[in-house]
Amino acid sequence: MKESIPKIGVYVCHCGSNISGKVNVSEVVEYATGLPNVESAQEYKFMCSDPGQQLIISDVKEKGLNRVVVASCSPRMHEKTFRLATQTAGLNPYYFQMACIREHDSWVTENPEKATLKAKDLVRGAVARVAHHEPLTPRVVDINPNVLVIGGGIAGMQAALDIADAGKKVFLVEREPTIGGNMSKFDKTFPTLDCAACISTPKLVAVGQHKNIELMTYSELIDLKGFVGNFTATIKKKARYVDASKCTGCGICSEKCPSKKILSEFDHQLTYRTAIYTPFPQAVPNTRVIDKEHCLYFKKGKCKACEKFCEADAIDFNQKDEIIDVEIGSVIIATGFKTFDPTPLTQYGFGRFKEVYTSIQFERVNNATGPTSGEITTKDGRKPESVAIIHCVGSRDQNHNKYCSRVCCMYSMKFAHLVKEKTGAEVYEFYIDIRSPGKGYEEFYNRLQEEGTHFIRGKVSEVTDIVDDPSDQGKLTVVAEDTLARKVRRIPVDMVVLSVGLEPSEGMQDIARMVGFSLDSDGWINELHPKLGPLATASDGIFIAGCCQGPKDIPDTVAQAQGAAGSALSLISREKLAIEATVSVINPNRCMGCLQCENVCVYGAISYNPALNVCEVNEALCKGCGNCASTCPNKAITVKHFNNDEIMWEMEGILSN
Amino acid sequence: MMDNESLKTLFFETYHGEEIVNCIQCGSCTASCPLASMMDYGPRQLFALAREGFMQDVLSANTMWFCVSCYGCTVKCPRDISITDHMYALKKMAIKHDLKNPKSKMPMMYKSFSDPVKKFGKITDTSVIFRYAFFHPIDIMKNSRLAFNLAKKNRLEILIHPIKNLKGFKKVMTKALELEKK
Amino acid sequence: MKYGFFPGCTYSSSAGYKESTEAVSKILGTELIEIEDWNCCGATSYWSTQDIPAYVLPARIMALAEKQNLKQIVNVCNACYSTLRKAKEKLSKDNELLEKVNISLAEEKLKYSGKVTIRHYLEVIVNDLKPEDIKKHVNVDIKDVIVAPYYGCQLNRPWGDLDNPHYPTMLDRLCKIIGAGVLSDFSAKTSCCGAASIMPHNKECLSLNQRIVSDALFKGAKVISTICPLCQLNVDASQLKLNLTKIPVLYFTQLMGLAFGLNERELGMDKLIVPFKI
Repeated sequence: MKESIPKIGVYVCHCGSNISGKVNVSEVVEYATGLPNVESAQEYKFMCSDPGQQLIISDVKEKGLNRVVVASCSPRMHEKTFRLATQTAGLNPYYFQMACIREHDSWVTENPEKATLKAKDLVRGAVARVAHHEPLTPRVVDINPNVLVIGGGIAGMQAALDIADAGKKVFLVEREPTIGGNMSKFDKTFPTLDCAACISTPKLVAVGQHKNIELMTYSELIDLKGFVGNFTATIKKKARYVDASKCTGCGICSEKCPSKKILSEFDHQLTYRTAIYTPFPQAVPNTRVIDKEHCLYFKKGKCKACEKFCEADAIDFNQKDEIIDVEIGSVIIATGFKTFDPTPLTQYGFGRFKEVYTSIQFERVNNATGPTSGEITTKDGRKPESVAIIHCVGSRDQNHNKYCSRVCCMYSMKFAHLVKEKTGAEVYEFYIDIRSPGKGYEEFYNRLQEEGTHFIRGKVSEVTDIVDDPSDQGKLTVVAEDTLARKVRRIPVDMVVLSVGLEPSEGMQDIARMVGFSLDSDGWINELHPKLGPLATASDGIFIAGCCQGPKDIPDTVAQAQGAAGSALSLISREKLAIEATVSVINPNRCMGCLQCENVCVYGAISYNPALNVCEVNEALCKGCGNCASTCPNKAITVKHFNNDEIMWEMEGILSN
Repeated sequence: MMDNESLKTLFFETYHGEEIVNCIQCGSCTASCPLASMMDYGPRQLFALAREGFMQDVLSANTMWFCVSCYGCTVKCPRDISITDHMYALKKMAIKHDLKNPKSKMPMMYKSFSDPVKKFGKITDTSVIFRYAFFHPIDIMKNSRLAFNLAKKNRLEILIHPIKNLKGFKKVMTKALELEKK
Repeated sequence: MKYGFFPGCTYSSSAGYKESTEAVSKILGTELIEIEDWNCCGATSYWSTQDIPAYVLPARIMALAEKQNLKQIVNVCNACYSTLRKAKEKLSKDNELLEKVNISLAEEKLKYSGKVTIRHYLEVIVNDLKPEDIKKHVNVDIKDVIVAPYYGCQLNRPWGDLDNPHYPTMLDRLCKIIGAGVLSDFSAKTSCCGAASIMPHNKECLSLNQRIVSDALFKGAKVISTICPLCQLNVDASQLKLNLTKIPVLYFTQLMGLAFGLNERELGMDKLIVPFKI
């Protein structure tokens, strides 16, 4: 039902002073009034505001407009807003066109006259285009109410619990044999010093027992297909070689396993584990797992000690990896972080000096379930008299990670407190800047100052076993400039803690490709919008929570997890969803079945129909990117709302000055 | 003497000093510097002064003259600033703008090195030391035991065997100096 | 294998670097062809005082090598290595400077085009030869010669591409190949020896050398091995003034010579200040 005579309303937005500071808005309005088919042109301070939208709605009704052009910000920002206003006014939402005179004009043009001229050009283009728009109907699809959560750390657990508590089904996929993530390795948490295990263990148990959560540990996502509301996730459940339905978690198998000298991943190489093991005593599930690489039976075909002693008959050496598909409507990514490996910073001697620890190792040293049962001692069992904590290891450093890892200042101060409390040792914090922006954080810093911690503002240049005073033999010398006292300090200490930064987990590239979101230059997930879309991604229905988006502390992670859970719930509770009508159509009379379009479609939306020798578009999967249309050698493909006619008219309009 | 502002412009634009604006004043340069204890200001503080325009203080400091070119600071700098190269630049600026620090003996050491190069195209340890001894005899006397030791082992090369095409070499160096002055 | 060779000014008066390098290269078949009519590289003195001449000096050496059709220039001195490499890298990025350098060199009908590769002899031995090609010449067991491998500064820094800039291991590996004992925990391996500052600032530089020598002694080394004439002189000569047990400071080429069965005189070891006795 294309209207025969277009009657266009043009609205030019000031955007406060964002646009009007450069563009002479009144001049643009006056100019627009004289353009073909324009019925009325107006300006307003904020078109996106309610009165701004009302202006459109009442004009359509009163002046009989049938097309709308808004010249304001980028379509990325408010196209949806104005389409909705157009629809509310009673028009087809696609009878609307946006001219971007902020991002493309006022923000990037120095000269006000040129900016005004450019605004006129852009408005002229939009007016010419909108006259040729065709009405489109958004498609409506059903939404699968199940949610997939990837990652079982504190973020993933919290998100899963919130969704499950709302009565929806959650599939929680975790790569490791247990959920709990990094937080389960920590001892105390800053700044309140409450015990990480005391607050996280109940979450592990709740997840393990929740009737709406299907927990898949030791499992990985290997493929994700579909679109918002209708995804199919393919998950690989790695063989544990232990039957989870039979294993009681008694632990006799680990006791009897002869391969005992395998460095523990959970204790970050500070202790050993057996080949059949559980990462830590409170693991969920407590089903053991056999590490095939180190198991004597798998290596040499002999042993089976675990099987012999297992009263529950749970050992199953013939177990195979299992591939399963689950149907979901939404996905939450909560893949967390890994800590920076300081080995390349040879000047700090990690790996060379046995008393140099990473911060995550030091968490284990402090933890009651760790290698020293929570006591702070050197490897030869001495109580340290002095401890150095080095901030920004691998962070704020162009040679490694250029970003600030955000949590290190605070956890370093927590360590200082614990060392002081447990050993009375002198603690030296070597920092560049103390960053304590959080509730109670600055107060915690002050508390540490009062406890007598030495705060030395300077990046450590070297940790060495060369001592200047022979009586310090056996100690490590930490060298830094005390930049505030203006002195180079060479401080002998018994232990050194490297406050390593956070990095994205392994395998993020693969997940990004599978799920369809982008990573920033540091490897963290790009959120939809840094201010207004922090938990969403550019792919509809895919949400993010926690450190996979960037380093953050536990309170922020939990807040994000609950936010992401809310976003997912809001989506799946809608049951039906309207999807953009801007998809590709293939004209079967022109298509030669050459498959070039299928090659360039990154969404897998095009398939070949051999019976008719033509390609066909699955509208549900198509995102309207236009790759196919521009590739088709026979011009058989058009993208709705971006057809040749519309684009040519827009260009014609812009260039016709 | 040039004013602070012009000196800063010269340092930033001709000698690429502008990258010191990236400095976060962490002090890892000063801490890695083998002779920082002798310096009026460590490299960190020197850059703090330079970027705020206190260039006369910078150029009359002894800091750069104590730089031994070990590049220890450069490889550790978290902001990837080529600190050693800036020390060279500041030394050159101090010489050219006649602010060289009388407290430092290094300009004389460099001169003792470059004189035989200009004359013969080469140096020997001994030729450098002899020239230097002329200005700072005490430093040499303190090392008499070493000199004796080297002489005994026939390691004092008093004579320099000049390069063969000395005439051509000198023409090259004259041209280079001519271009330097432009 | 043939290499262009830039001996540098202090090569012939050093404590046997010349003798040992010549002897070892003959055995290993790394033919070092001296660059005809080379000049001083200028080193720190020129970097610190002049703009154009500081580039012309190393460029002349490289231009001479090009004229002789040599593709690589092998150095035995860290300062020479660093000066040549620094000049080459800067000239490859700065056309205006390159032009000025070539205008100067034209006075002697020379032209620098940047085709030569800059190498250090240690790195040539470790990277171009197979371990077995070195091992097959070893005929003396020197496992009791426990070496503190001392790299000094300017080979690895600022580049950091040959080896780790703070804790290199190239010389450690070579020591193992020739059957010497080697400290696995020598912490002073890239500490500064004070370089040319040792004369004007003797006291401060002595304390730098004290750290190097005492760490080697404390960790149980019998010799310190160096790869640069200035490092060798400083660490060796400083011991005249340090109140520590004396430890000989050998060039890596002397160490190799010993393993290859050459005698101390052939390796110029009689010129060491702290005598080698084992």
